[in-house]
Amino acid sequence: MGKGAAKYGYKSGILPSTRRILKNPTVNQTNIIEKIKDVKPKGIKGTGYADGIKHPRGSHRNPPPVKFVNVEEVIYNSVKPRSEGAKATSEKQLLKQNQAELRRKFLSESLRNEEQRLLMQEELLKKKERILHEQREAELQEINKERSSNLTIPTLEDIMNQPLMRQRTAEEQAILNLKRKHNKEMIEFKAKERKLASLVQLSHAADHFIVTEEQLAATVEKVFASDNQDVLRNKLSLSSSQQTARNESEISDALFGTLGNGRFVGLPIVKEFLSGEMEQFTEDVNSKLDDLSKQAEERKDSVL
Amino acid sequence: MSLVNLGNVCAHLQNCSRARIGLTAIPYTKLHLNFAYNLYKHGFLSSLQRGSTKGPDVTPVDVTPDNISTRKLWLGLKYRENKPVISSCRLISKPNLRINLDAQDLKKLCSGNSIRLIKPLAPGELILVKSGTEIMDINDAIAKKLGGEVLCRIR
Repeated sequence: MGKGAAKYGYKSGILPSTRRILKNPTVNQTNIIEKIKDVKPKGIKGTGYADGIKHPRGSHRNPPPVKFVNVEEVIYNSVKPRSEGAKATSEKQLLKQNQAELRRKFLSESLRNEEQRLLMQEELLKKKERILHEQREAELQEINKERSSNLTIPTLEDIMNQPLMRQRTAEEQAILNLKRKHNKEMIEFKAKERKLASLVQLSHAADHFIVTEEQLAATVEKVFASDNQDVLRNKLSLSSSQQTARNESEISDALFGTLGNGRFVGLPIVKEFLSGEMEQFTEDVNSKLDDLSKQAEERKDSVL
Repeated sequence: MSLVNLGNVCAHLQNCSRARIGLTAIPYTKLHLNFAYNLYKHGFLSSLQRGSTKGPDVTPVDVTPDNISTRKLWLGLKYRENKPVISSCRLISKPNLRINLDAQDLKKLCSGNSIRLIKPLAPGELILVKSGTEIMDINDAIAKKLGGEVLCRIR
């Protein structure tokens, strides 16, 4: 910023902004009183400091309360009316008194007029705002006026205002919930079944676990007794024939529901036994066999 | 509303026009639907259809939460004498520098003055303004005396 006229963009003759005659709002300015009495907004866009937040040093936590003045009081305190007893004794004194009276009158008039001006300004501003609002409403009404074309032409704008997506109906939501529940339970069930299958396998394998020292010694003895290293090598190696044999055994296990190439009972057989399906099956087979044998005997009799 | 997504669509339309592609898809959202509708209304597009990722719908399909992820808006691009109708489609308000103008400034922009380094509206050009949740042409915004964010310009 420059000096002198440079401060005002090299424009001279700019007067400073006028000072206010009344330094505080008056008690008659109801809109200011109401604005102050209003509850201050809180939150992000609110004012003031939240609890536990410190305010900057040298500043106030709360703004100083606005002081409202009564113009008559201001007048009374600044220019007191002349005391009754004081009477002018000379011409000069009388002149002085008259001048003082004039000053008193003008000052009090100016203060009263200022208050009236402020009140009038406030009223005019309100009126202006109201007129502008009404004007805007009328313009909008004119723009959004119902036109005959609206009734005849299907507008794309109507489609724009429709929701983008149809939400699920209560029925669809219920079906979806059921589906989700079923999936969840199915996954849990399959996991449990897998666990059970491995438990059955473990229980079979546990028969051959070496748990005592004697068993360990016996097994070691057995393995090395044959002294045939080729056998050992064959057992440990992963030749293609062994791989095929393993695959075959796995396939047969999966087919017949057994374990260890048909040596042990697998989970499917256990399940069949528990559900009574196996018993039913054997009964059916036996009854059919009986029927067949009876038929054969009858035929034999007839032949004879 | 994301200006990033709008910027992507603007670039996509420009690229498609330059590659002489006839039909292209953009995401199915409210913003893109409004944007595409405005382009269609002002004659920059030959068609505006709803569809899936595979193509425009032959028969109308209900949009539900089950198929929303595959929904797309299909736009038909226009060409005249082997030249694209959309030669340029660019953002004015950027994600990092949003520009909001009031109705008076918009009017100035339409009457040939630059505002905040935005070039004035040229003949045959479309500037889209977002006022509230609505996207409209700059002339509509001026007629309604509404200000708003100046989204993009298409010519």
